[in-house]
Amino acid sequence: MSRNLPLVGVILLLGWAFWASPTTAEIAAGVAVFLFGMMALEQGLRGLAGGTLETLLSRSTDRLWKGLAFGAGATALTQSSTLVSLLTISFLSSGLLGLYQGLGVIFGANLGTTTGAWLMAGPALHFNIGRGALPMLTFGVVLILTRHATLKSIGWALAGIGFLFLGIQWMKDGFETVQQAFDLTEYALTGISGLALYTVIGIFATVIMQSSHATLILTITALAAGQLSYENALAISIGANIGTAVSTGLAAITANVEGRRLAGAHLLFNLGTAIVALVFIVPFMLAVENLAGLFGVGEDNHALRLALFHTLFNLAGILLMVPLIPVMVLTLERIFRSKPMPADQPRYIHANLLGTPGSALEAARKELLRLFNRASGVMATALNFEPAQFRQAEDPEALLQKPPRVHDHDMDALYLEKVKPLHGLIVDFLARIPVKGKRAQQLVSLRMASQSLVEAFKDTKHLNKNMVRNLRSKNAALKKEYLQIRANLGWLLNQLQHLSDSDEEDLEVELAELSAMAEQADIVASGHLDQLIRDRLISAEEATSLMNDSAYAYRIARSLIVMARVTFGSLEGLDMELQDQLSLDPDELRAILTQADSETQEKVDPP
Amino acid sequence: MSDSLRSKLKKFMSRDYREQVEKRDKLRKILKKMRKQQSELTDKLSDEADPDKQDQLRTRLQLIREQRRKGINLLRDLKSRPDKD
Repeated sequence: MSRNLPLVGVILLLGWAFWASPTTAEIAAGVAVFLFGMMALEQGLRGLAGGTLETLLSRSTDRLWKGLAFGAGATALTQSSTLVSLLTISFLSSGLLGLYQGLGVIFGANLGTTTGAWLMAGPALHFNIGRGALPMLTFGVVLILTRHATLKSIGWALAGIGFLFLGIQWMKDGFETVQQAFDLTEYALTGISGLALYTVIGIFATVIMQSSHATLILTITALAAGQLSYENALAISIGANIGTAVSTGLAAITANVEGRRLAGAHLLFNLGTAIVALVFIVPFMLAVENLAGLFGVGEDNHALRLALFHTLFNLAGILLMVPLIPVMVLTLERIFRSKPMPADQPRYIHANLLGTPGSALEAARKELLRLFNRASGVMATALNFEPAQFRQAEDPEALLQKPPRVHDHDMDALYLEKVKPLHGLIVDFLARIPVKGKRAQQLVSLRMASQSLVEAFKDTKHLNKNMVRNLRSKNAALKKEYLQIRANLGWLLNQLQHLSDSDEEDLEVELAELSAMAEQADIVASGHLDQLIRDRLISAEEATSLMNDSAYAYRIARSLIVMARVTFGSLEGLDMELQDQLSLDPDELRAILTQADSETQEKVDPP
Repeated sequence: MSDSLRSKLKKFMSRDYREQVEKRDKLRKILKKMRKQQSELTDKLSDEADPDKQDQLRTRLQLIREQRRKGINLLRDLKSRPDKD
């Protein structure tokens, strides 16, 4: 109950305001409509530019300045630092962005958000924007009702701007009416007490409305109507900056460690900047006066001066904080430590990512890659490879040696312990990502890849029963065949592990080569099994087992290659349909191998 | 209306068309990369003295050639397909 007290207080206060004063009601309704407009605009922009922003952000990860420019540009364009912050948190969580670059994006977003004040203090106050709101709302709603996803998003964005304009108009009208009745500037406070009080008001207003834009527009309209003194307005804008960071901090309480680190950095940046702005407010005001004179801003245009001040102190904050980023990263990583990941806990996937499908899919791909590395390690152990021998092998022949001791590993227990829990979480996560179009295809591919990995693991389990028995067999020919199957699989796992670690340019060719090896190893198709039977080197019963196990090995190889094709490259460049059409089927691979064999033969025995 | 403007408008209005154009562009890029790999491998093969490595490179070259052949046929097919509106 006590948690809901502030909400009850706000509702009672607003209820009283609506009953007591139509003017206050108009201003309050203006703020509400403005906030609703922000939400609608964010929804529209998420649909229109969400994917583009994700792509742009993924290309802004290598340099700090790129992160700063992306943060400033994207926030200025979308007028939503929330959207940019959420995207950054999701990129950080999925490991696509380092904290260093992430901080750059967040600092840039702080600068980008100041463009809002310019828009509000410039065009918004000087035109009757309420009139422009009506057609925007009408056309916006018509477009929202269509089925086309892009048109729907345009509709939300248009309606959002319409509501923003309408809200600003109502606030303007409200303050103009107030101006006729009484003068609020009589209550203006000067000096340090005024600065402190109005900074606190700015913080509270932003935390309650969850938007520094709303606080700023309220301040700018009140300032333009002469209901607020210029100095007090400056203090509110500083408070609004702190308020945003407090809101982000409150939202990050439930976030993962990356979200907390970013919120911590946001708080540090905004608090540091605010302290500098408060301490050096006089030099800042002087700088604003000089710049205003330079840009030809009128003496009485306090609204534009406020916008200038807002930009100036955020810019100063960036100049001051950027050199401190490495220290900040170290401090934040020390305060918010990431715990070592238990085997059944995911490292990349997190419910917070579900709002940004692109990074959610990328996180799922990385998690699947992690699962592959773990599963392939277990498979190699089950095949009785010594870790050092397995890792250091430079060709399949190096893996042909008989293991010193043949252990019978409990693959069911290993599956339940090492594979199933994480696989279950990945499947669950994939089912909850809201996707459509190209992303839906990527999701299906990832699901297929995860299934292929598990199938490969289970086939290894079946193969391993006979493998363990026949590696201990007294029949040297049979043992040799099983050692060959084991070496082929070991080499495949070894190569796939290397490919998964490296930034392999020609992944498709590497995988085609591994596919060709799997075709070559098929002893049934090559006629090698028949030869063994004819030479009476193995019994009929042993031949059946060998045939089944060779088929298992072939299936394991194909499943792992299917998984690798999806998981080893970036999802953005992935087009499963194209890959399927370009990949070589078993018949084509066999034809190439036959041709290669005959060419080699011709060289050995020239006609 | 100019061709490029018509194509841009069609791209905006039709997802099928947009995807078809994207696919063609992606395939062109892949083919270009493959051609580069093919010429690199040909150079490597001519410099290689070890017969085993030569065999390995030859197989690899053959794999790329076959994939490229499939890709070129696919691109031809995509180009000849009527645009979906």
